[in-house]
Amino acid sequence: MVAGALVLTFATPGFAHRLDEYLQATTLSVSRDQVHVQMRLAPGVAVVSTVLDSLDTNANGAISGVEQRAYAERVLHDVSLTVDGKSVPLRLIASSFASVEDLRRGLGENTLELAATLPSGSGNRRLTFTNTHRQRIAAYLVNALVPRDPHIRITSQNRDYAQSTYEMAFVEAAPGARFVSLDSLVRWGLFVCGVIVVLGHVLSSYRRARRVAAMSTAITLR
Amino acid sequence: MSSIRVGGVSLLAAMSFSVNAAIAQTPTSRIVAAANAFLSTLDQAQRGRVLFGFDDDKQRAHWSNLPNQMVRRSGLSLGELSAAQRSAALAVVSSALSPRGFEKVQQIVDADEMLKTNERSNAMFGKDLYFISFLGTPSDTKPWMLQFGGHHLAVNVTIVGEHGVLTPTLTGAQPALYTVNGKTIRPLGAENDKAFALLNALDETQRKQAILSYRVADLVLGPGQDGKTIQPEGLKATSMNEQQRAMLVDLIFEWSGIVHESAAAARMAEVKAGLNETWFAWSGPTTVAPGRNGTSYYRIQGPNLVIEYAPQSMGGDPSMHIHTMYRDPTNDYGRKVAK
Repeated sequence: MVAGALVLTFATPGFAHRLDEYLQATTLSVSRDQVHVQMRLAPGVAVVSTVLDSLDTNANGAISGVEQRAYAERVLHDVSLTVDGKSVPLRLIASSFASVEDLRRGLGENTLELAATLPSGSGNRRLTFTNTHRQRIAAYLVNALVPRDPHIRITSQNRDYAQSTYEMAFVEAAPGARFVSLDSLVRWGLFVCGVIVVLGHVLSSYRRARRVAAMSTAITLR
Repeated sequence: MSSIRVGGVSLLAAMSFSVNAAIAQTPTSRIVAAANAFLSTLDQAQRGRVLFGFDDDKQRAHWSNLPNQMVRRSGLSLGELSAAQRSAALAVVSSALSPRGFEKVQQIVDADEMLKTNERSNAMFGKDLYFISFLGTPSDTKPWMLQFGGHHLAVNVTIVGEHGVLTPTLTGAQPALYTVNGKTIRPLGAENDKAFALLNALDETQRKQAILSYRVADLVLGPGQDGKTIQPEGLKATSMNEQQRAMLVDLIFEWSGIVHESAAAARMAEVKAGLNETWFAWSGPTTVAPGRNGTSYYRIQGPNLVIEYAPQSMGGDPSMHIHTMYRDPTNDYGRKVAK
């Protein structure tokens, strides 16, 4: 049920909202040289006051640039990324914050865009993302976007029950190489089979023609 | 006697004409006729509010699961229309959907009316707060779009010639089970029952793959998440037997079959073509009381398909409050056909 809703005009598309949890929906996007992390942070109306305590720290009803940066730093402190077992620092590249008014009505969503440089490597690799931000009230979602980079292929994903810890195994093709999709393999396989069938047909026709010619020659000689 | 004969001939001719006209009418021309009939009932100011440019991407993506008071819709609400206008508006929606699809929409709206009564919140819930809008001009050939939605409902149908693309569409229900004249109504009951039937048809090895070991608290690709494709998980349809695959297809049809029959048939052909690359993932309890909705999340994801079913635990019974999402990451808003 939607509770505590008041009259409001919302400028952006609406999204599902928790009531008594702090939804933290993260997507990870891995490319050859970078990991991009988007975090959508949406406190439910029943828990928003505890979030605002650390967001609008001077309680003046507005989230200043300084407060936004401080909150982003706090989130950055609560998340971690490792690649192949080594810690990789995440940096803030962009953020957007809802108004205190929207947040109090249980409607606002803050977004942090984070990035990290992917250490060079190839073959089987492993990435771990951990989020412990406001764990007691959090509802975490973590998902990897399908890589657009043809050099990266995700092979497995694992999470703890709360989705606070996420592990991804992926394969990175060596420089100059790229993965061939199953579709492409099937298409190439069919093409090669087709070529073999046609060549076989041509070869057998040629042999048949030669046999006929030889027989004709023999009959003529007789 | 002759006047009877002439009358009979005229009647036959008229019947023949109407039959021929009906035969000649395509699904798109029927929707266009219904849309133009609705527009003809409106005054100029109303027409100005219901019509948007087809290139209006802001309006195109302006839909939500939330009530209108929280996310203010554009277009014309049923509540501000006369009885005749409202009837004409619903006729447009009906013409674009299958009979079962339209019934589902009506049941979702009826649930909201029920919520209005139960919550005593006239301003926030109820039938009057569902909006209709068109992007572009209704046409047999040129692209245009019908939007109909409000709380727990966002029907987006992009029409391009004979193409009818229903994605993205959001359905939801609260209460997700109610009674009308002693009859139990579950607007999204088949989505629940068919999913549980599929889960129960899986063997232990398949269930281990299908059932995720973590909680999924909400829709991953809900409103505002256009253009994202997440890595699929769960049980792949290639690991299902023919009966299980048929059950999966039947479950998908609960969403793809909302649109009118010929568009649904085209859509199902796409879904079946991508079935080998389609995944079924489940999170939550694996049992449900007969005739009730469960509290489990599930997702069906294929090359051109994302379906999510997410009961909402928002301080109440999650089985009574459900959100679902239906997408085609390759063709949301008909982008593939509306070039």
